[in-house]
Amino acid sequence: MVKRMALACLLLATLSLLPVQATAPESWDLEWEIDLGDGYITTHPIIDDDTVYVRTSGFWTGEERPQVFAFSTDGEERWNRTSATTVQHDMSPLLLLPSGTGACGSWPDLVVVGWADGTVEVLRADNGTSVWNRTSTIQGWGITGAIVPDGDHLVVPTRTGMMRLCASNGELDFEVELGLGWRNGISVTNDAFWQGDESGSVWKVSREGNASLVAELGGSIRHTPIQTPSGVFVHVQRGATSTIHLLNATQGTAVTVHQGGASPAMPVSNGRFVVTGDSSSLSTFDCERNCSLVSKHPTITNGEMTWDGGQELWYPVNQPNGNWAVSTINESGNITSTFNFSTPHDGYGTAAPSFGENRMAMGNDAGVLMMYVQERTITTDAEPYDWVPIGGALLLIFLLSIGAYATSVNRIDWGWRLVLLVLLVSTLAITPDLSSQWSQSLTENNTEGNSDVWNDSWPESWKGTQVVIIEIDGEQQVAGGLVGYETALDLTLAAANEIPLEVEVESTELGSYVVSINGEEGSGWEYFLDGERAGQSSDRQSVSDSIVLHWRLVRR
Amino acid sequence: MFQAFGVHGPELTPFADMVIDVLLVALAFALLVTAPRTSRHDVYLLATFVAAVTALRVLLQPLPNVQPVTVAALLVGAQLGARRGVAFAVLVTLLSNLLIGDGWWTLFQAIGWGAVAVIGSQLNLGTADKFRSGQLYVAAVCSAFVFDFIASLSIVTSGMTLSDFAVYLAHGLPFDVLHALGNLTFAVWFGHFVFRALESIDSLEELEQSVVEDYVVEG
Repeated sequence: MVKRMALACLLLATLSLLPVQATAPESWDLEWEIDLGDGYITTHPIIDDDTVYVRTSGFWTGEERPQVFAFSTDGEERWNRTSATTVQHDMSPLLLLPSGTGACGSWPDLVVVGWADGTVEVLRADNGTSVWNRTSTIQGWGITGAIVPDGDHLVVPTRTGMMRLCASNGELDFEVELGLGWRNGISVTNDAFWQGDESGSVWKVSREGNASLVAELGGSIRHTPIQTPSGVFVHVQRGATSTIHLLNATQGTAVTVHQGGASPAMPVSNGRFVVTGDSSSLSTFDCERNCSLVSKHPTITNGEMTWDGGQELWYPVNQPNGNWAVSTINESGNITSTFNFSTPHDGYGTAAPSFGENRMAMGNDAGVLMMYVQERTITTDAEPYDWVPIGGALLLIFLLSIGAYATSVNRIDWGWRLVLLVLLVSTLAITPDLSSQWSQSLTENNTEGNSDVWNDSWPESWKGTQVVIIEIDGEQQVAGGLVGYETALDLTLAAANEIPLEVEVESTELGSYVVSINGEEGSGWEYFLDGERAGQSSDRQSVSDSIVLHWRLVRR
Repeated sequence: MFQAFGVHGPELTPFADMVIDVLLVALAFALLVTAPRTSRHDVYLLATFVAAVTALRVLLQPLPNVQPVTVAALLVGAQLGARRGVAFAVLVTLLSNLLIGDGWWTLFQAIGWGAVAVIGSQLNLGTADKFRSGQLYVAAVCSAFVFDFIASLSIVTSGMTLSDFAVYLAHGLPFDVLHALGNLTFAVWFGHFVFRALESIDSLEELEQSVVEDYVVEG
């Protein structure tokens, strides 16, 4: 009897510890698929009412050439357009521009196509006939980045820079030379356009077409710079790694917030949180807190990503037999669950899916356009239950029961062994929180009433605010008058933005720690709060509203 | 803790790193060579034990401050004497750090576990049949704090005051307790087993006895 009970407990505990695979809250059924022939689908299709638009891409030889297709949502081809002159990969996503009127004329519903031979071609959405076209400079490639609408104009990332065209007739507003571009989109703000290039430079172009260099980060920027509450967010590709930077839009300074994996995807934002992808993980950043890292999920994604209108982010997993992954990102920016969405044509892919009413269109390097329909609407958005804590607790209870049984049959040595094992596992589980609380209390006790760190040369207005000193070899740089930052890391990044200095931060299991400031690594960086040495990683160290945070470079 | 502080000892050049490693290897071999009459069998068994404990340390590295090396060093010191205990500690430190991260701290960890082996050599744990487990448990708990203190010295900088260092040590207390608890668990689970396994290597006293007996027979 005892043996059976023990076996049952063990089975229950083991099952409860198995990894939880989240299930899709929606049910998508494949309605139809169409093989588009040679070439890949490398950019997302577009669903508009009863029409879906898609383009093919590839390295073309012989008579084959890339095409743009329009299909009805039932899968019937409405029109297609072939480029006779482009032979390189067409990576510029299609743009659907609704009809409108502006200062330079009116236009019907349009499909805007950027071709790899440098041509911008504008097609009527209803029949695919060409409305106008305009060429741009070619250096190996032509247009590979995303064209964006700007009122009655289109802004085009060309191979060598940027141009702004009238949407109705293609009349040139301005053209400006920047660095060489590849898949580099344009971010539109009220006063300017932002673009990165293949040299890692970030450019700001005024509405009059005057370009200024904001930052030189090295590497390659292959996405649209993202405007966030904390600055301009860019993910820079660098050989086998990548780095994520936050630019101060007014001062043109850059802070390194994270190091990522190889071949970055195109990051997306939902306002507060920015999501990046690369060949090692999907990561979320809270850009109301200096774009600090919130959460990571291991995966390989190197192309487009898209929100499905809610909290779910869809992205292609770029590997053999790769499918699409769907990660749920909650209100805190944490990736709470991920499920895989498989299709009959899984494989390498970089194109995000596209969503219409109860419909989803997707394609990958297999070159097959697939249309899915949603059979039932979303019912609940409840987060999956996390069985790990209850499973762990059951396992510990089970071990303790075995220990108690061993003791009852005079195997006291085994009783002690099991009790100690349970104690060790429990202590391991609580140590991170315990250590954090312990360090917090030590720091608070040590910093009470310490006022001798104030420097009389500082402005009076800094009193009662947050002040940061960054000291390299005895030379101090100070930023003060900062308010509202809750952790030492947030405060540091804000100060670095203001001074300005570049900060490199690395995330570890024990917290984030500052690797370098202004490229200086030394033997490490240590920090003091009101003159007292801090005891935990800066992202876990809370700071008061009136504090002096002192970073010092250690050299030995 | 080092990462939490952001400071991890001097940034060593590859050459300086190599010098430290070579010196430690030389020390380990010197201690083995000067240990009285080590047979080939003993060397194989000790090498196997070094490899096993190294693998265990690497395997358990994700668990914060759970250090199987400490109890192993205690037992090797107790059973084989201080010299071979220190040699064991140095070799395990070097080999495991080659896999999980080598640097300035390697020196202090080797000293720390070497000190634990010396403490072990002062214990009288009896024999496999009459194993004095209580002594081992007390030593396992205490040696966690000894090792953590010595390893923490690697973080001392020229600008660090005694009170700074005390604060640093205080911050690490939860991890020290975890180390002690881990040691106790290892000692309770595996202490007797390892002690018995090491008994097949001739202890220092036995070797000395055999030398004396040989001498007497020859005489």
